[in-house]
Amino acid sequence: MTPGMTPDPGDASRAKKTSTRVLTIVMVVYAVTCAVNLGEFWPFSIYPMFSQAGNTWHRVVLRDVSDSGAVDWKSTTLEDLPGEPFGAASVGADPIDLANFVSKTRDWTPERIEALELQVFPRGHDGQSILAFRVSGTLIGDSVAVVAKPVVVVGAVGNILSPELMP
Amino acid sequence: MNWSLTDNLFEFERPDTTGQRVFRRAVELFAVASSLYLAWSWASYITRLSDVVLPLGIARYMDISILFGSTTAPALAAVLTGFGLIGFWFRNRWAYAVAFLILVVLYAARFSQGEIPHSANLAGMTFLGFALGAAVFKNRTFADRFAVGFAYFSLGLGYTSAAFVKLIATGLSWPDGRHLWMWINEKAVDEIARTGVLVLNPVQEIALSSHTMATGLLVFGLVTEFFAFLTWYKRTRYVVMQLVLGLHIGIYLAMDIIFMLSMVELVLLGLPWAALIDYARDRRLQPTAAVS
Repeated sequence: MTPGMTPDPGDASRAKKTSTRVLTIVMVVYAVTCAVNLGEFWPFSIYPMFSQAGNTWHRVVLRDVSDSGAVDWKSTTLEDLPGEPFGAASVGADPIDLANFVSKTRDWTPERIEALELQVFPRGHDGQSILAFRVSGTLIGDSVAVVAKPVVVVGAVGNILSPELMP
Repeated sequence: MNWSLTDNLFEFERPDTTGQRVFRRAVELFAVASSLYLAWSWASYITRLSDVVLPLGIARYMDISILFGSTTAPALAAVLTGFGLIGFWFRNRWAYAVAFLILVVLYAARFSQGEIPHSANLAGMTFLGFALGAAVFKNRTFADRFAVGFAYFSLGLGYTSAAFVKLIATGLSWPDGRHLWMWINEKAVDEIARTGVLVLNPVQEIALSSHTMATGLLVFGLVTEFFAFLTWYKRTRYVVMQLVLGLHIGIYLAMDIIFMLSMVELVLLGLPWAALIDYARDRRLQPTAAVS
């Protein structure tokens, strides 16, 4: 069709009917795939992000504990974290991936710990040790209480799981 | 006002213009380029994965771990690139459909670690629109008009759906400013995890210090999402698109989350580019008035 040309009315009418059919089929597939797959079947989604407002959240923070000695497995605050700051971006890891990996893992098998080590040290630890904290935020009245719980050390000192999480 | 969805979205009966052709090709270029970008960035990350934490979508029906720790994912990205370029340059009927299916598999492998991101959904839906258009319509103009209309449809559906889910999951108390405080703190921890340090920006500082301001930001977001379906209609489309763009700027400032692909697409779809191109072209072609 060249610029300025009006489409044939018959063709346009058929195109409308076809588009309606395609849109209907897509909507049915969209609804069914989302319904049986917890609302997610990329690129289809019910977009549940930020839907459960006020719920406790869980994230991860990494600390370089190469020079920190024995690990204290007690929960702490963000202000009192041991070791030095360690940015996941420095090793090309995605912190949200790590947060989900750490918070959604229930059974810390040796394979699962090694998978975490691979994400944090994709090219080997080079003498470094990283302590992963599971950080939780809870709404209490008009403030947000944030607590950091040590989960696992990976790297030069070996892979050490928190005694609380050992099977 | 004409409330017909197909008339408003696809405009099959409208005479074609140069501006519309350029605009449709630009949207197609965005869809293909963003798909290639996503495919390669996901593929490079997949090579470092070794375990499935949360199988999403198609990963619930196939063993997605076969893509881990090998060159399979980059090889798939390379095949996708080939089909994407064939679709763009040669308009092969099924090339986009094959590329789209590969993208679905790569997404499932990349996001098997527990994170459920939505930053690429709009781009994915737009690419699906071009795949469907090319497969269903032999007439190229109709195929591309369907694809662009499908992009507007997906956009309105997605945002309005998000508003409904919020109201269902939390209720009318969703815009309570304290909820924004929770998310700001959550994203602050992500920033510490990403870089090791945290600096709050002025909007975050204001939101954290004023419950009213925080609530106002959430109310704006929820209302904008709720009425996003109005992008389906020509008369309201561009105003609503600008509000959705404003919503994303607000999300970026308040929570440091940037949906770059979505924002680029919103700028592309949110301004009357076709009319602007036609206007500029008509002015250029007008004969200059003779000077006496």
